[in-house]
Amino acid sequence: MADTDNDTTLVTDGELLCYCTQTGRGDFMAFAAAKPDMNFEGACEATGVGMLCTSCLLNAELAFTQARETGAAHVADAKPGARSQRKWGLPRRRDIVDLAIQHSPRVPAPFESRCPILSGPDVRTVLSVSNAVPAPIGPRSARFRVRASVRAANGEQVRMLEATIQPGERCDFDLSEALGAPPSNTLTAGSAIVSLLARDRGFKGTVRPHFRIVTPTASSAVHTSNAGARATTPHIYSQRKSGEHRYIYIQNAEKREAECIIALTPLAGGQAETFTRSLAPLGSALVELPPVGDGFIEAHARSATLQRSYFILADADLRRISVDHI
Amino acid sequence: MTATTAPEAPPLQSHIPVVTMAPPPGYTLHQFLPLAGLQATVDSASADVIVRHIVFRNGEQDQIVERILRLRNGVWENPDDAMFELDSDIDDASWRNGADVPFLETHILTQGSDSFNTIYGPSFYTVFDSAEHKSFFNDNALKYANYVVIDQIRAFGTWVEGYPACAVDPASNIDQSALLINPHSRPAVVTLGFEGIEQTVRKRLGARSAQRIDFADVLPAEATPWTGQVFVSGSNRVNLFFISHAQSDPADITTVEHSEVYRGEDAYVSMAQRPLQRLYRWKRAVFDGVRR
Repeated sequence: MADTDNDTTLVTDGELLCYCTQTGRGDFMAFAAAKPDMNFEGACEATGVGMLCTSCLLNAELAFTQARETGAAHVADAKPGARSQRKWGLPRRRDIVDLAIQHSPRVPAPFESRCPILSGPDVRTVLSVSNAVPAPIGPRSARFRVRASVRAANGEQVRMLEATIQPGERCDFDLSEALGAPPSNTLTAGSAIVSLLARDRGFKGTVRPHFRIVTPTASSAVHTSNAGARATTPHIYSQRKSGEHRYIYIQNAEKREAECIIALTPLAGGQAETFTRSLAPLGSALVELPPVGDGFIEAHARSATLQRSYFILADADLRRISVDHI
Repeated sequence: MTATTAPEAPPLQSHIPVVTMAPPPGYTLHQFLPLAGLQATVDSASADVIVRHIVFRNGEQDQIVERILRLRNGVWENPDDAMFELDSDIDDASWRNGADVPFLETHILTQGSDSFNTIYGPSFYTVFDSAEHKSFFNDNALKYANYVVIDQIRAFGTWVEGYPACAVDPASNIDQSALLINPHSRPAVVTLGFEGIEQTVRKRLGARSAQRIDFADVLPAEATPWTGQVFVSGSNRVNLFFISHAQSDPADITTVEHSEVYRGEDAYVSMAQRPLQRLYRWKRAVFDGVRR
């Protein structure tokens, strides 16, 4: 391949990336690696890759990304995420782990995630798991067993819900109904531990669980998340809208009690506020955040146990409620 | 094929840009770049990091705002420049129509001898607030190089994204919209398919343009109320967000969510992964001083 600054001549070599221009994958990657100041679109425009029928653009993105991560030296063997590869020496621990994972047989294993349950006057939480079939791909996903362990705020299981969904099916569980009527006229919380287990070999498809917060005049949904940390990332929110309710929801993922410390720090400076909440084993809590000074606030929650937290915004009459994982 | 000497790996000087919706009518957009996370991606203790915000509309760059964040010996000299604010520049009628709406791209770059150690920047939420409506967050989308999408292309050879938990009920004032953002220099044609509904919707998006597709406007009246999965597919990938809002006022927004990819990951896992995960958790529990 000619490799001057102004020459974009590519010579095909091996696997074709772009059939319209007859450009090889390796050569496009070498071009991308050799031009660190050129972005993806520039590389496509300069080489013509993806500029005619455009059907190779997605593969071109992959090739471009790999080229930038690994450099031209290893374009033919580039693996996603690898910044560099060693040429010689004993295998590293990571290489041994990768080898073990690649060559061991595949087995079903549960995928677990955490879901908040919000209940209140005309507020319901519905867990939705969709195994829908997209027309361009067809039924390629596995059959999945879905389980939801519904727990009260004190961590006690009140119900176990279960369904099996084939490709083309979905299940919707009313978690608030399973939890039972809320004790008061305000928003209360429980939790669900959601588990998916593939019943046959296939792909994951679109089965990632989502939960919908439903009121008489609004519906909003977000995906569940696992509990993998003891602290949230700092989360910045606005206090501009008066009357808006702001909450942090915390779910304790371990079978022991924990204290959770919530800190609210005004970005404009001023006194931070902290307060604590006790969480029962596998319990949960919904903490309404008071106004703190003016302007934007950075919120942060940490605990001695693994947790999953969400940030909840609601309008004054609890009709529009949004949930975001933090 | 001419044999060439392979050059050394070049320095990484840009993160993958992120794409997000521009503020709807009545909203202000706020971005707070996480400086600790950004610092972790910089290869040295001192560097100049360029943050460039570009608002696109109908193929044109509407606005460009650029700032340089200066890192010196591990300390950011101008942390206030990590905050970016953008007021809405679209009127109610245009937002309601949805045929031509703006979007925002955020680029993080460096130059000269400065470099990053990864192409992926730190993740962060974009905050949308309003004096009239409830505020909400948007967690942005990678303009390209999303590995879940790459896995999908490897597995199926085609691109499909969507959202599994949509809801449209005009009688209850509940509506859903798809925000389709084409940040690329070529036009794109996408098809929207709705679970349980035969009719599909095809949309052509110009280069560097965005549209809001209101589901209550495109679904047959007899199909609503409707809840379920929507899929968006096409030969070129576009960025997608799904907006939950009032049917009577599409600017009265409950939340905005990123799309879900139809995943090409194996539903089975490697047999070696479970013991390795247990070993890792044990190691973390013992060495972090946490009892199990």
